[in-house]
Order: sequence, then C-alpha cells, then structure tokens
Amino acid sequence: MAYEEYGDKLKNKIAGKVAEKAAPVVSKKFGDKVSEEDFREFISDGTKTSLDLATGTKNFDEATIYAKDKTCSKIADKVTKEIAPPVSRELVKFSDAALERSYKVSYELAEVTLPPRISKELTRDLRISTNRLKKANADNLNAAAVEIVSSSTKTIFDFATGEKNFDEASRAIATQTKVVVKKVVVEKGKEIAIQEAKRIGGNAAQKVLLNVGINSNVAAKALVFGSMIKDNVLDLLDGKIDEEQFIKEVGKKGLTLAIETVGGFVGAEIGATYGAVIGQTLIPIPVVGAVIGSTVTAVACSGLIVAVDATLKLWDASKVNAAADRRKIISKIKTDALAEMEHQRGVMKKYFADEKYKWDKNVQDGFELISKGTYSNDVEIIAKGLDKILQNFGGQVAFSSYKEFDDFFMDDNSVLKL
Amino acid sequence: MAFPIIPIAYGVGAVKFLSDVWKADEYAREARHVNYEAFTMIEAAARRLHSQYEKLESTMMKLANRKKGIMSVTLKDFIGVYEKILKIDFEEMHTVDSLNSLALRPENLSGINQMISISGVQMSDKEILGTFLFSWEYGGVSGAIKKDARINLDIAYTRSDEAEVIAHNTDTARIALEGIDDKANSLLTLLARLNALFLKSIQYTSEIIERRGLNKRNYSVDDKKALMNCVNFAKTLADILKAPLFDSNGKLSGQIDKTLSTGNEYIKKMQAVK
Repeated sequence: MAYEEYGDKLKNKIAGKVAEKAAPVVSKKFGDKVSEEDFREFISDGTKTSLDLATGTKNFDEATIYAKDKTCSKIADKVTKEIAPPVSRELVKFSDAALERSYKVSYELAEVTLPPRISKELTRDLRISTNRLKKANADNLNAAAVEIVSSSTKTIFDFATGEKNFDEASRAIATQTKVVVKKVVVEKGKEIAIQEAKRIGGNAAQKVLLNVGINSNVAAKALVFGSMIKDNVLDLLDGKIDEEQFIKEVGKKGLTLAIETVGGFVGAEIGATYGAVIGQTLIPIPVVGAVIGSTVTAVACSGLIVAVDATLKLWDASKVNAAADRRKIISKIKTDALAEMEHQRGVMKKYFADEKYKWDKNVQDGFELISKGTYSNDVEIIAKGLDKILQNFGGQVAFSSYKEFDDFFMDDNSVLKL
Repeated sequence: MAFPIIPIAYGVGAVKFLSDVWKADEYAREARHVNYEAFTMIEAAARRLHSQYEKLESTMMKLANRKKGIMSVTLKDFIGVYEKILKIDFEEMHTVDSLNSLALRPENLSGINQMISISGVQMSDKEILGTFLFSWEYGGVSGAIKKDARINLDIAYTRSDEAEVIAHNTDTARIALEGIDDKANSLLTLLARLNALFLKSIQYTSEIIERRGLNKRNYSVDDKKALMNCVNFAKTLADILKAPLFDSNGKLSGQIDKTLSTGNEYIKKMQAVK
C-alpha cells in the first residue's frame, strides 16, 4: 500500500471516530434544527482538515478556506432545500395579493363607471390576465426564492462567523435580493404583462371605447368618477371648483410617504417570516438567530419592494427620458441650425444687395454717360456709357473710339462679330 | 399599524391618478397646439415659396420673350440694314433653355417633401386604454397615461423644432427667388430702354445708309459716328442677351446652394437622431 493511501485511510478512520463521539454531544447542545448525522459529517470534515493541517498537507490558510467553503456550502444547500419553499410561498402570497389588489381596484372602477356589458367583458379579461400573471409570477418566484435564500444564507454565515459586520451583511443581502428579483421576477414578469396588455388592448379596450363613444382621455377620466373622490370630480366638472382647488381639496401631499410606508411594511413582514427561520436555523441560539435573521432579511425584503418599485420606475422613466433626451438634442441642433442658417442667409442677402447696388450703379452711370454723349454728339462718351452697362455682363463695346471704328469701317475685309 | 395606511394610500393614489390624467390632458392639448403651430409654420412658408416661385416664373417668361423679341426682330433688322455695308458674324442663341436653367425649383428643396411625410401626433384610443389596463406594469394607471402624453409632447416639440428649421430653409429659398426675380425685373427694364435707343439708332442710320449707298467714301464723319453708335448698341445688346442672368462665375448660385444645403444638412442631422 502506498504511503499516501495509508495516510488517507488513517485520516478517515480518525475523523470517523471523532465525529462518532462528538456529534451526539454537539447536536444536543445546538438543538434539533441540524441533525446528528449532519453534525457527524461536519465534524468528520473538520477533523480531516485539522489532520491535514497537522501533517502539513494543507497550510493554515488553505485549511481555513477549505473548511469554511465546505461547511458553508453544505449549510447553504441544506437551508435552501428547507427554507426556499416557505420563502417562495410567502413571496407568491405577496405577489398574488398585489395582483388581486390591482384586479379589485380595476374591477370596482370599471363596475361603477362603465356600462354593465362592457364592464363584464373587461373584468373577465382582467381576471384571465391576472390569473396568467399569478401563474407566471409563482414560477418565477420559486426560482427567485432558491437563489435569494441560498445567497442570503452564505452572507448570514459570514455575519455569524464575524467575516462581515451587520451593515455589510445587510447590504450584501439587499443587493443580492435586488439582483435576483430584477433578473427573475421583473424581467420575466414584464414580458407576460406586456403580452397581456397587448391582448386586452386589442379587444376589450377597443370595444369599451366604441361603446362609450368618447375619446380616450374622457374614458380614462370616467374611470376616476367611480373612485372615492367622485364628488370632487363632479364638483370640478360642474364648474364649482377649478382644477387647482380640486387638487388642493383632495390633497395630494403625503402620497409618496404613504406608498413607501405600505411597501416597507409588506417587505418587513415577509422578511420577518422567512428571515427568522433562516436565522434560527443557522444560529441555533434562541432570540439571537431570530433577531439577526429577521432583521437582516427584513432589510433585504424592504429593499426588495423598493428595488422592484425602483426598477419599474427606471424602466418607465427610460422611455420618457429617451423622448426627452431626443427633444433636447434636436433642440440644440435647431439652435445651431438656425444660427448657421441665419448667418448663411445673411451672406446670401448681402451678396444680393451688393450685386444689386453695383449693377444699378453701372446702369445709372451708363445711361447718364449715354445721355451726356448724345447731347454733346460725342460717340466716345456714349461708348463709355455702354461699356459701363456692359461691365454688369462681362462684355465690352465693339469700338471705344471713332478712329477704331473708322479703320474698321473703311477696311472691306473687316467682319463685325456680334 | 400599517394596515390603516392602505386605504389612505388608495385615496391619495386616486388623487394622483386624476392629477396625472389631468396633466396628461394638458400635455395632449399642448402637443396638439405645438403640432398645429409647427404645421402652420411649414405650410405658410411653403405657400410663400410657391407664390414667389410663380411670380418668378412669370418674370422669367417675360424676360425670355423680351430677349427673343430683341434677338429675332431688332437685331435681325440691324443685320438686314448693315449687311449692305458690313460683313457680320452673328450666332443666334437658345434663350429659353438658358433662362430656364436659372430658376430654382421647389422640388429641389428636400425639406418640403420630408415635411409632407410627417403626420400628426395624437395618442390613439387603443394605446391609452391598453396602457391603462395593465397599470401595475407601468407603475400606475395615471402614471402611464401621463408618461405617454409626456412622450408625445416631447415628440411634438421635436417635430416643431424640425419644422422651424425646415420653414427657415424654405424661407431662405423664397428670399433667393425674390433676389432672382428682382434682378430679372431690372434686366427687363434695362433691355426695354436699350432696345428703344437701338431701334431709333437703326432707323436713323438706315436712312443714312439709304442715302449714302454702298460706297464707304461717301460717308461723312457724322454719318460714321452714327453708324459707330448703332454698331456699339448692337454689340451691347448681343452681349447682354448672351450673358447669364447672374454672375458668370456662378458665385451667387454657389452661395444660394451653400445656404440651402446648410439647412438641408441640419434637417438630415435632426432626423437622424433616434
């Protein structure tokens, strides 16, 4: 038997013996969340790592990393297996409640404001879409829960072992949760929601408009009439109050605060539910584990709500921003364009004006000379006058002096070229 | 603790809804107004250009007729009279062709055609309700309506900016046509005045030629001076008829081209922004 094989066999034997003796003791001390068999495995792995360290097979750093990774992964896997389903159930419950809430609001508004037939058709379509979204969200949230619990568990382990302080662990969990929710829930849910929006937009909405027989803005307003502020709306329509008074009367201050409070509360509720379970499992010391678990996860879940909200807002704002950005760019081009075009137009106008001035002056001076030459019977002055006019056309008179003409005239071979 | 907040949030949310819808309405109204102004601006500029173009076409037609008249009547008369005593080399020109090439045509201005393809901006009914029904996906019913209206308003302003540049360029073209028309009118007047003097000169010298006959030695100094004037008028008119309306080196045409293409380049640049 080779030396290495013998060493391994011995190491396993020692580790097995240590684990066998220590596991029941440790298991009793730490409660029943982790079984004796699991502790046996942890202790066995730990003993093997200690022996590696003692025999120089691993140095201290290698041994520490190995021990931590192995233990952490095992705990994370185990916790995820046990905790992910209840977490997923909680997330699905929350998602369903949110979708039902949206459905209920739409349903009530439609019932109050639309003709019964249209309202019935619309709410039936909404019911189908809500169910489809619930189903899609449930699938997505199951996947999200596994990922969130797994990554959160590792972070809480880091906190428990002192590698991360409370703030670091909270931030890490919040970040991991946001990333997972954005990736799994928002992105996938968005696709389904868009499909459904298109589906309903293509039939019921069209019928609503046709039957209501009013334009879209009025249709949208009509849905508000049925809300709890319909009296104020009617006052506004009757002209009893103006738009500004209307807004003031109903009061829009505090909206952001109220919505955030609701979001935060729901997040904290979910956090407390599954955070405590994770915490208690990982750190089987009553109270401490629950406190750490629920607090850290509550923070993460409040972050989850905010993250979903922020993602949707960003996604939404990006469309508005794209149009606004385009407007800004075009506006800048327009300013530049008008300035440059105005400059070029100025150059063109000046050219026209200069040309006209020069042209008119040549014509005027030319006729004055022609007139002067006619009165004084001086053909050379008349020729100068014509020459002046011809400057506008790049031409020249045939004869600028009498002598030139006389020579030409008396020569029988001369040809007048016109 | 937090549950009583939910109905309040709904109440306040409903206010937000109405406020956003109201804002959307304002945006839609503003967008319609901006679009209306933009298209009015373009239409008015195009109408002015078209009217100026018609005016120039009429002036150019008059100019072509006047040139043709001088060429085929007055200069022919001159040649008929003077051919008895002088050898004359005269090449007739195709005046109408050369005149037409001077005119700017609206179809050469790209902006006009591009503007025609720009349609009105209005949110369709389907769009607005389709968006409304799935409000949670967009962060709120009213938010979605307001957002779309806001986008349309931005698009309207964008088109309005494009329209302003196109209208400016169209007006530049009109100014160029105005300049050409002005010049053509001046030339019409000049030709009329010179032609009147030339006709008198032909009439006067034809009597001299009639009187003195073919023997050049019979002509006195004054006779020859009269003939010299007439020949100089003939050469002057012939030169004017042959010359282009504007500078022979094409400097003005170059400037007009440059001015208009500056605008066209900017219009293309604007339309390339996605």
